[in-house]
Amino acid sequence: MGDEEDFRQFAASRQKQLLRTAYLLCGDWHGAEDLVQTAFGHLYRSWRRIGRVEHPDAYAKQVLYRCHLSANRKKRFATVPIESVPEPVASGDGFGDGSTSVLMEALAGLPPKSRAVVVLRFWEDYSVAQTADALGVSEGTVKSQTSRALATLRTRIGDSLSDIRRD
Amino acid sequence: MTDHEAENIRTLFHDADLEHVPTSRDLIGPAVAWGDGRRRRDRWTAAGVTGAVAAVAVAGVVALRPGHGKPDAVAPGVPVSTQSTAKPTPTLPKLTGTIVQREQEVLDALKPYLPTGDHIACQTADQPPGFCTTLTFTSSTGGTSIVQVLPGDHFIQAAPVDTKYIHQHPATAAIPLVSGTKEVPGGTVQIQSTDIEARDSIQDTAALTDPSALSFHSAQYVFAPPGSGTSWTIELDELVRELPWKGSSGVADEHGVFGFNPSGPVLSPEQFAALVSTPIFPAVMQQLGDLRTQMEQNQTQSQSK
Repeated sequence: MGDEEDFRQFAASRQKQLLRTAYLLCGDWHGAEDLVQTAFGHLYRSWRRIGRVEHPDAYAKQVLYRCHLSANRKKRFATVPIESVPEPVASGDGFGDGSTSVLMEALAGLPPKSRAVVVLRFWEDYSVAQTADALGVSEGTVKSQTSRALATLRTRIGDSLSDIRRD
Repeated sequence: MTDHEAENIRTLFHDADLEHVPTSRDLIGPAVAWGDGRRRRDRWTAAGVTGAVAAVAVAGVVALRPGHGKPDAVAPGVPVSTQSTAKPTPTLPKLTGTIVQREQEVLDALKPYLPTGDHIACQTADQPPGFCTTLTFTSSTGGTSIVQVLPGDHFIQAAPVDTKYIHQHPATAAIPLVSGTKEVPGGTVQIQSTDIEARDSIQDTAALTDPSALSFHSAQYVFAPPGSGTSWTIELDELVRELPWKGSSGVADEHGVFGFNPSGPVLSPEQFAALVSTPIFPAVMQQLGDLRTQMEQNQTQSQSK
């Protein structure tokens, strides 16, 4: 029972952060909830072992990203209920803020693996090596995926990109 | 891409307003319930007993709409009165042979107490000194469920929590088996009824969105004798509709691997309740537990050599 309590406390304290990441990966909050719930399930399944992991936060993120990629690989088997169609970014994400809309629109044009690489590199501030480790791919793959993804982003939101300035 | 552009991408992420995170449901409770189920399967798999049943969750599942079932399908609510009236002596035979053979002999002792014509048989066996990897529960009318008969584990810790995930079988569901508890003579049977759509396991904790897309059903019946500190569980899994990718999945006999019965589990909760109240049932579960322990010891010994 202590095992479950430990997990529940861990999950509750990390849920928001993981949901934000999942939202960036999925593009809609319902999908983000599904993804986080799935990741929590996998984490709880291995919780006794994870308790001995030095950085459980990093492990939780790794599980989240791999669940995302795994889910996308398996989508060919999926039924797609109408309710799960991603919400329109500009009007349905609940954010009036323009930079969020630009970001989500940009990410929507990326394939799942590239999207995961971009989110890890630029949202989580992971290094190439950390990103490769999290996704279970080579560093060369991370570099090539990053390059392609940024080229796509340059095409899609080039103007917005060059207009961004730090306050 | 220049460093300046990369920095701009970083800025774009960090300027995004993601402070407000909407949540529409409990994510942790269902995950714990799912994780518990997986742990259970892991334990069972580690014991060499599940094989195909674990694979079932990876496959996916379907259901027939009411009225579309095979005419000979076995309804989960078959009255207990269909049971045999035979009254054999509640003693187990002297067990001989391999663990698989002894397991089958123990299960055969239940046959007189099952609905007439029903039987549990080992479909595929692990190499010695293992258990049977796939047990099939076959009804007299041909429906089959892949079955696990599990002694000594409280698999459902809190039925109300478990019923919150996946699907709760409202009246429109194809399989009219409701999760919850059922009072029976001598105690309470906990029922967990789970639908899975024809999609991969990574999504099988998602809410069922389309009852007509239901492909697979899993039922657990748990009976805990009052004051015993243990419980007895029967889990029944079966396809209730042909998989959409039937013929292309590479599985030669999906019905053999997953079981198949359009009406759901071939043993109803009422029949399970009647079974657990028979005098031989505790002895059967004790024997199965002993065989399981012996098999685990054999595995440990073979690994240490």
